Amino acid sequence: MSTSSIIIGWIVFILILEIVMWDIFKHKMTRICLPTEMDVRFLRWCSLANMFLIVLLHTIILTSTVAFVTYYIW
Amino acid sequence: MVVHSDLPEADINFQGKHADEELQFYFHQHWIRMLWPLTKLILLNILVLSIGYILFNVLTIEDATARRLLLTLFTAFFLITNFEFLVRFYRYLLYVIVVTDKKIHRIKKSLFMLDDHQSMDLWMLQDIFKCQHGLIQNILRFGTLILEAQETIIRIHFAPSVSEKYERLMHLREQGRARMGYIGGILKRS
Repeated sequence: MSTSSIIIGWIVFILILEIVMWDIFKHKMTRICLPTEMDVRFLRWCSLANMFLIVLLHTIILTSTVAFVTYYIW
Repeated sequence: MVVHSDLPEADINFQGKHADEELQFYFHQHWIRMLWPLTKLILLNILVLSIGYILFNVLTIEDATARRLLLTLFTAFFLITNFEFLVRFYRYLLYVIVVTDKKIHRIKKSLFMLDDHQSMDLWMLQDIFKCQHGLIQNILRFGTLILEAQETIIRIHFAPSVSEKYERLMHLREQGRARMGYIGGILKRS
């Protein structure tokens, strides 16, 4: 198997997991209050949109790390 | 329905809310709950990257099959640790305590396995305990709330600003009892 197909395989795997988990989370978060408790600074920015950005960043970090390492070592 | 922070609190709906209930406040566990999972994630990532660097860059494995097998194992371990953290983070956000003018709701969900909802009438609460043990709990102002009704006990661990929550719950309980006709613990309404 070529390096590119291995990288694509890992990226697809990561994307599927991230999308499935985000979808389940969003579905379960529906009809639950989002954390807006003002005395907890950590939670102030935890809106669903910001959470999506975190997940997006997490996906980018994972895919780029795996792609970079696989490309150089495979 | 996804709730936005700019909505007035009384208008916010949530799972299991009755039409005549009015939201008072809600909270998640203290952020310290996520400290160990985050530390573990960082430590495991450093460990995987360091061992990987030593194996693949310093020692250099000549056999291609062995190198690829090891790389696959390391990648899988790296992904498992990262996704485990993500699952923990989601689970943290899916655990909400909602207090209305009539009830306390404990909504506890996880991504795959758990979907609990426990409710308790405020006016029925016999005892409310607040526990803050140790230096860290007192400095960071979190602790455990124990709510006791006739045969039900709800323990809320890692409650942030626990003293304030305790006082608000006591106040709401008295309001609830007054609404039911109890004044000073005695039923006044015939």
